[in-house]
Amino acid sequence: MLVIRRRPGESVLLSGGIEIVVLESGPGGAKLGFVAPAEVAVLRKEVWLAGQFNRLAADSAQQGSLAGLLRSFRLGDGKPGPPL
Amino acid sequence: MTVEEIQEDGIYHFPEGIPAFEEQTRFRLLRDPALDPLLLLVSAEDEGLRFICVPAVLLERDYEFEIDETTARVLGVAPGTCRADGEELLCLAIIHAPESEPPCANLMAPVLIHGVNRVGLQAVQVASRWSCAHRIGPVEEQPC
Repeated sequence: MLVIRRRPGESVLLSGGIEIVVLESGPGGAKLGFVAPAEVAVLRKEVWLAGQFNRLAADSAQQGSLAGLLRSFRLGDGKPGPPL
Repeated sequence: MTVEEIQEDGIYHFPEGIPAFEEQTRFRLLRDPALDPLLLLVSAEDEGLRFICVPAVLLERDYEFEIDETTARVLGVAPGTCRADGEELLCLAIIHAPESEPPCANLMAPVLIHGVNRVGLQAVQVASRWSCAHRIGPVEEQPC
């Protein structure tokens, strides 16, 4: 990973017309500003991860049988599974 | 809000959609006794788009999540730390259940639904102690 020390008011340029500005920094975190062309997506990583998971989850909800999944919740409670 | 309070014909408004499906802003929550305790979160705009969910409290009894200012405004609740078995919100985890791998649930980004306000969102947690690939288990093959 490339590491560059920057102070508030300073920025870093990426190719493609992207600028990342350090607006504030402190013990609670850093506040960043982004200047980028409209087609460039800027996402918090955890939101991107949630989106990746959601895509996979939507695909698997289309395909799989729920039998194995249900079994993992019903072990030991004696309930019958659904007809398949 | 409990699972029993889900209204089958109700549509819940997700003003921001959910990550990767931001254009989907209306969902139904379907409960089928044969699938209990699983629930289906189905897009009201694209019936083919559905998510298998489970109440987060069934995965982790002590599950908690943070409601930040933005989330609180959307849902019409107070910000702060909430328990998954709270009265106002139904807290669901989306499940990914591929054929070839054990199923897992996303406890890092719970789906929160306010039954009275009929509004929902996926509250992506920051620096969460919970995983976005929480293993559901134990999954054991039952002898035939």
